[in-house]
Amino acid sequence: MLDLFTIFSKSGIVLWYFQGTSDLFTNTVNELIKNVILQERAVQSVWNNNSLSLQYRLDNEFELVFVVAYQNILKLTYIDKFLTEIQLRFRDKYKQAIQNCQFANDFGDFKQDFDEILESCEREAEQLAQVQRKPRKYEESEKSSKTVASMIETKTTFIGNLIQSATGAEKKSEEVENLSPNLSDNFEDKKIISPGPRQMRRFEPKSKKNPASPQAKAKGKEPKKWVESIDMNSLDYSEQNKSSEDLVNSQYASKKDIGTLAGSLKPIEVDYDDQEDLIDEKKNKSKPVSKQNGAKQSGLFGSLKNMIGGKVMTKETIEPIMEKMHDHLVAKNVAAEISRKICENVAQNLEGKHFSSFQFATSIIKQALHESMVQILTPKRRVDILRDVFETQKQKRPYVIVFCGVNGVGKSTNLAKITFWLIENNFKILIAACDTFRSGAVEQLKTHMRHLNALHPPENHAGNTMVELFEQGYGKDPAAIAHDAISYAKDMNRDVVLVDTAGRMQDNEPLMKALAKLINVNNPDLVLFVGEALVGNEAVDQVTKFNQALIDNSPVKTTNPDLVRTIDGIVLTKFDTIDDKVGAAISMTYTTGQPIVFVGTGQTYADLKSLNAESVVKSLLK
Amino acid sequence: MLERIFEEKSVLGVSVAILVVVFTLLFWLLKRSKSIKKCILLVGASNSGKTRIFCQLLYKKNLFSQISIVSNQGEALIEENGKKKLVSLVDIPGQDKVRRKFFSLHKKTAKGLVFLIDSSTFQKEIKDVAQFLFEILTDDQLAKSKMNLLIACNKQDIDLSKGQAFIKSNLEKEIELLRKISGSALQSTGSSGESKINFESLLKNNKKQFEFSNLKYFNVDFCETSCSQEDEKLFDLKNWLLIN
Repeated sequence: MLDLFTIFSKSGIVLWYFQGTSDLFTNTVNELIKNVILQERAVQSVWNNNSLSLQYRLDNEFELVFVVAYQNILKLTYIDKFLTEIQLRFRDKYKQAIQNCQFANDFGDFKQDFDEILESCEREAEQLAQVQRKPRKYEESEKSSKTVASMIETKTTFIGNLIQSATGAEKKSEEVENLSPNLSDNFEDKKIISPGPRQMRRFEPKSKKNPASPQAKAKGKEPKKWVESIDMNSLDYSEQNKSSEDLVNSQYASKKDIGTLAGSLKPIEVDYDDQEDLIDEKKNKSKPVSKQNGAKQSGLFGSLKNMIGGKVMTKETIEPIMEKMHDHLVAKNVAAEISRKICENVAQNLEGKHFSSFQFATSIIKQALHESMVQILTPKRRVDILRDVFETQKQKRPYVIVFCGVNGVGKSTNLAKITFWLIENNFKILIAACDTFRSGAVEQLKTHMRHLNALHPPENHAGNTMVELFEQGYGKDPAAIAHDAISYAKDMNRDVVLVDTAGRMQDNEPLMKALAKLINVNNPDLVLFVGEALVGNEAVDQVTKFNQALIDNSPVKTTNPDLVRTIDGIVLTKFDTIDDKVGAAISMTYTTGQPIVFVGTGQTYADLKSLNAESVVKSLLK
Repeated sequence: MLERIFEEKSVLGVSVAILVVVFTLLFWLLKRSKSIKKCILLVGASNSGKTRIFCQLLYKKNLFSQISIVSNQGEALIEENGKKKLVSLVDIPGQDKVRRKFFSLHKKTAKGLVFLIDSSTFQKEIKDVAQFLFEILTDDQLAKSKMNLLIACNKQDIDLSKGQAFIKSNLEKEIELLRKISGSALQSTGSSGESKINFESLLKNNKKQFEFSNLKYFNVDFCETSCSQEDEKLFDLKNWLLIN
């Protein structure tokens, strides 16, 4: 009944496998490794891929992985037990070979054990199912233990039972306590709930509406005077009366920024307070500080390690330390749920590992957590926008980037910064103003365009205007504007199109549909989710709902699930406001699995950096 | 006479201390010399065949392989043309998420690198392959001393795979482009201590287009390999391993 069972080492060599079908299993297992184990999500026990369900077990002592795959519809219950027994049997049988890394051994005679264990597990599961399927005898049921008198129902008990069955079936226990008093109030009053006041108003004659005095309306509202002398002209950004003189007054676009962003972006450095230490290892005060990189523990202690017996990581040692790490991460603004999942994953990876008596459990766990988080922040694919723009230049089409996110995170500001970076690298940009909702959005982009063109005038770039703005005013369909912008860019040989969209809450369904439409119609090269570093637990919700909305509203969802467009990268903004509480980076990356492409560190054009995983994780664990 | 010298307790103490220090130094030097520069690293993008070749060289068996999560280490006895040698091999996983960690772990002990390329999917993956190769070439620790690099075009048994001449010229063009992109950037340091050097300082002649023969610190060779059962073609690789 199993489609596949395989045992392979963490280093990639397959030791033994059993194939129930004729399909090659390599790809399926590779997908499992890429999407689950490498993404540090090994805590979830079952993973679904097309029609297959995969369950796996990691053996940390011998660095082995056991994987079982079966059809989704089967719902086998004995797999957990089966995996545990197989793991024990395999380890006992081939202990020597595995310890000496003799992977070329013939593990073929394991087939007998495998069949034996499989048979016994299946038999037990069937027996258990039999027991559950038989109907209960009367003596076993609850009714036989009650008296007749207790079963007579009056009105109040009947209603009470109704409430309990209705609320208990669907909701959790805490909410039952909150809800039932309200519900029982309604029921006991036996009031017929009248149609709400809104419905009643429908029948009122219209003449009753607001007999406002016409004189009041003619007067109008007087603008409130805050400061006596305001030059209204200086606040009017709609006319074309601005020249490059305003650059002198502008604090955001200074000439000293020119030339600073050429080439790839510099990685970010996080400052943190060096004096505090995470967990006070009192014993460690006299000994030298344990080094970060585990491999550096060579020398005397390393060689003695092999002579003296070691300890094993058990759940009891790991748990208290993990609790502290979890609290610490949450204090550093990592979403609570994500922190818990990461800690559980690290705990699972460490269980059963041997370590020498010279090492402290705390330092090993800290080291493992450090590595795990660096792995989460490391991109799973190559991130090099400049190289990709060169590629699309060769293909004679523009590179399209769409910026999406909730309100007020810094989409337009960071779009301007990225524009600056790209024109420093000599690319011609077209900004598409697809935020047709917020007042002043188009004028904001116009101002940025003027500043950027003043910083990089056409004379310095062979007569080409480096930044152009494509706008069609307010109120139009953003998807159509984007489409027109891209064709315009193609005709005018612009290298990159940056599409600015309106901010929207993740719960707002019609707006999410509109965003999905914009993305699906125009098929951009990169969809960037802009999130601010200040956000806490909300980050998980935002990113999940955005992703889900894009998947749900995709036209190829059922026909071709590989072609569904989701978020491709994250822009982390307002990084300068958070000091060392950099947990939002981890929350967002963990939820989507996508890399952080840009980090915004301020409001001037040069405040754009790339992510440095080591630095961020170091400050997180400090 | 010796007893008289050692009557003084302080002399005894000092000489014992000196002995201990001398022994520790010897011990430490011994350990250090053992771990310096003796491994050959097998690197390359994911799915280029590193674990397969590792198994082939070590166990002389063609085993199935999955994506590696940790590195493989072992001593292989290489035999070719009557010559024998024990080579210490390290197979670095190719997945982006883990390869930098293992590469920085093992690069101190590397005396040579074998960079494997999947020749059949080369055209699709050229950007990723070139990016990885560029990272290796600009690594400051490796550039401190001369390093031998073998670029092995693997999976030659597949019909559509490209030959080494094609791969060489395309890689040179890609790296030229990457050089142009990173050329104007200043030296930047990440806090992990890995500093990227300006690529121009690694070339003998800055005016020309990039060529592998133009590198100061790397001695680059090309070869074709295949480790399928019907068409095994490992003698170039084995010869190189025997020489380096």
